[in-house]
Amino acid sequence: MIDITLPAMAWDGTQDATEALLDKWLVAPGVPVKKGQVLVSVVLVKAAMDIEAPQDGQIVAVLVQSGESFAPGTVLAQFAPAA
Amino acid sequence: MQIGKEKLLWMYQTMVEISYYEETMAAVYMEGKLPPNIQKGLAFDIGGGPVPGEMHLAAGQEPVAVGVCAHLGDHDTVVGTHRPHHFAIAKGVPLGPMTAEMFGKVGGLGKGKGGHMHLFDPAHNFSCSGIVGASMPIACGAALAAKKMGKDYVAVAFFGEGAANQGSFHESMNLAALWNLPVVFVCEDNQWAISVPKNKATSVPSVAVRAAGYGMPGVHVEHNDAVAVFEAAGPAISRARNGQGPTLIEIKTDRYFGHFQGDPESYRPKDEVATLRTKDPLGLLAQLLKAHHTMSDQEQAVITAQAHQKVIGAFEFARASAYPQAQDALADVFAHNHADTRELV
Amino acid sequence: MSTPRILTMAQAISEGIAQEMSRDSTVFVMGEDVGSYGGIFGATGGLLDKFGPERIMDTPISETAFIGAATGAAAAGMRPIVELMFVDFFGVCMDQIYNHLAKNTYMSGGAVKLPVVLTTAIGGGYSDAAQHSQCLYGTFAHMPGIKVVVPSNAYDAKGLMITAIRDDNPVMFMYHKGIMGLPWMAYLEGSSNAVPEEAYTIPFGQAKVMQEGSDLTIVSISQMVQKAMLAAHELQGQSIHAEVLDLRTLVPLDTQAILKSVRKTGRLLIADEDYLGFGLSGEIAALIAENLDSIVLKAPVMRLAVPNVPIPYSRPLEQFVIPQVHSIVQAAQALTVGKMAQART
Repeated sequence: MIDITLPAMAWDGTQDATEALLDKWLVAPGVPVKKGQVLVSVVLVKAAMDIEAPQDGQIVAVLVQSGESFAPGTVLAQFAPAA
Repeated sequence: MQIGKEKLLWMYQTMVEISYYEETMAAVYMEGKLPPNIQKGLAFDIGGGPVPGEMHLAAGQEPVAVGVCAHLGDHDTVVGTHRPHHFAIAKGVPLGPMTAEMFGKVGGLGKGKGGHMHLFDPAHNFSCSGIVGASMPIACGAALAAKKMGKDYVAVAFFGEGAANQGSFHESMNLAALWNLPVVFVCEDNQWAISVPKNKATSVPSVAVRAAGYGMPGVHVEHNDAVAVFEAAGPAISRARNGQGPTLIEIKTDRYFGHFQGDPESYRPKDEVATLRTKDPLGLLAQLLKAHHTMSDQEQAVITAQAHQKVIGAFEFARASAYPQAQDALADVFAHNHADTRELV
Repeated sequence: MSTPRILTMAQAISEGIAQEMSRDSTVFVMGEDVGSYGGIFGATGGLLDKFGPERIMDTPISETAFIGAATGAAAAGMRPIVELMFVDFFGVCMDQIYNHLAKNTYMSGGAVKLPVVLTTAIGGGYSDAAQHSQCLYGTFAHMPGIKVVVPSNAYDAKGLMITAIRDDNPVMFMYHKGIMGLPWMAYLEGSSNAVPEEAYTIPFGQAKVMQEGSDLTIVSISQMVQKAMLAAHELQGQSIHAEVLDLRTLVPLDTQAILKSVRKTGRLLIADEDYLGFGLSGEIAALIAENLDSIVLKAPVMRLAVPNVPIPYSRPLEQFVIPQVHSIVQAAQALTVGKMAQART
């Protein structure tokens, strides 16, 4: 199982405790995706960023919903790589 | 060393103040704007916090302000841009009321009605505008008044390289040269007009060449260095003061922050800012001062501490100042007339 | 059954432009930061990637030149969409808009067609002060020759944009920043709604009844429509049933819809974010006054608008001058006080 997060590097230059916004999930849990496919879009302060699937597989569980904010290190979803 | 010790120290100390001010404002501006304590579904709330709205910081551009303003007195006029803090500080605008204005407080320069792009200090003949290119005609007016009143005051219009493509630039240049106005046009070229780089917006590599088209001298300053700016501005300001008319100076400078605070700058090459910061104009001037024994390490520490105190004091003043009453919004549209024009109400 | 696709108003606008650009190769976009930035308020998001820099053109800060160029290009057979970043900047290019774009068709006896869409951001509420917070649709509606379109939500925005692009006349398309659905500015959520994927048009001059009611008519446009809807919901809880009318376009104006509604309710509240004096609210009040032979008013017309003062920076002042949801509620209560008294007897 792989944790889907916004890499710590994205937070460089922001103040401690700045949270990001989970804008929209682009893929539902259980739907097979290819490596590199965009799973979710997030916005940190004003920068919009896409998070891609690390490998072929599928999202198993979404832990942060669309419209919610999250702190650095938060796991956004659980991702199961294809066998 | 041609430049007086006092001038050099003033430039250094003022740059330290400006730099610390911008850094402090960058952090304070973010208060109340970030999740989780904002409207759900937002990543940033521009209207939130103690300093709401837009914010344009001049970190990196300190040398332009001090190199020019070192030649100016209270009677000389400076008209600035939407990125005005360094000009205001270098012109002697008091930091407390300036900061209170940005906090929207009654103790602010404009009683909270103007905000950060609209700072007015008549006592120091300082003003600025949020409209690109607006500074130039207004500075021409101040210069015209000085001439009519027989004073040797000078006006300086600051503007960005993007504004050099605005109609008001061309009209002002022509008018100033035609009427031989004591005005100096200072183009602060930080290479970016929001997301558009200079080479995608301007038909010539250096705006200084446009001066010839209007019949005035044009000077290009390649390095973002306080001494270089001082040395270019001196003769231009003297010319104006001596009735020899306007000059255009273009200074290549560096914008450390985004166009406005929160600007993701996705249009900007990733390492550009880090590289620019290594040029460190403050460090360069400090080194020069120490090499000439004009400033010791200890004196530098005192200057730094004093600058920090001044900035901290200004922010404390702003926070402590009261908000205006809602009804105050309706006042000050028109100024009060003198007693003898009362009937003209 | 699939869930409806909710878009923000910014997304709806850029989708409408994209669909028309795919359909018609003569459509192109010009403006400041419309390219890689996607427009300062997102109206051209994603378009540079789809259509390239020849059709999505970043301009220098030269409004007179590029808006004038839109007029010239339209006369020569193109269909330009040109963006004035903030409506407040109209000062630097107004001659090209109101003396040329708006008048050449008439002065040519209808021979010259100018299919230009002039997009621009309007509105305040987030502390951007006097030069960046105005609506000014009244100013543009006042001068003949340019259509004025002001959507309040995503669905309308896309349909109106497609109509605007297909119209052979100049159309000013004004979008309020506080309903674009940007992740960095608080917005009223009613503005993001279901938008069909296919292209569709909404005719100009057709107001929309957002909510039916029998006690009073609230006429509004732009972000104020969303505030009126929130107010109407609150009023419902007090048994005051407001009919909310979204004008959608000011030129042409759906006078019949206004008259029909006021004939039904007998009470009119105009909620307007532009200045009170000499503007939209006065125009609607005059319309009613001219039709008193067929309308029975139960109360005088009431107008809520920004008083004739520049928009102040400080938050308590800005919130005082721009009508809020609670001011609409209070005005509606005052307007219907006769009704409540009658009901109690």
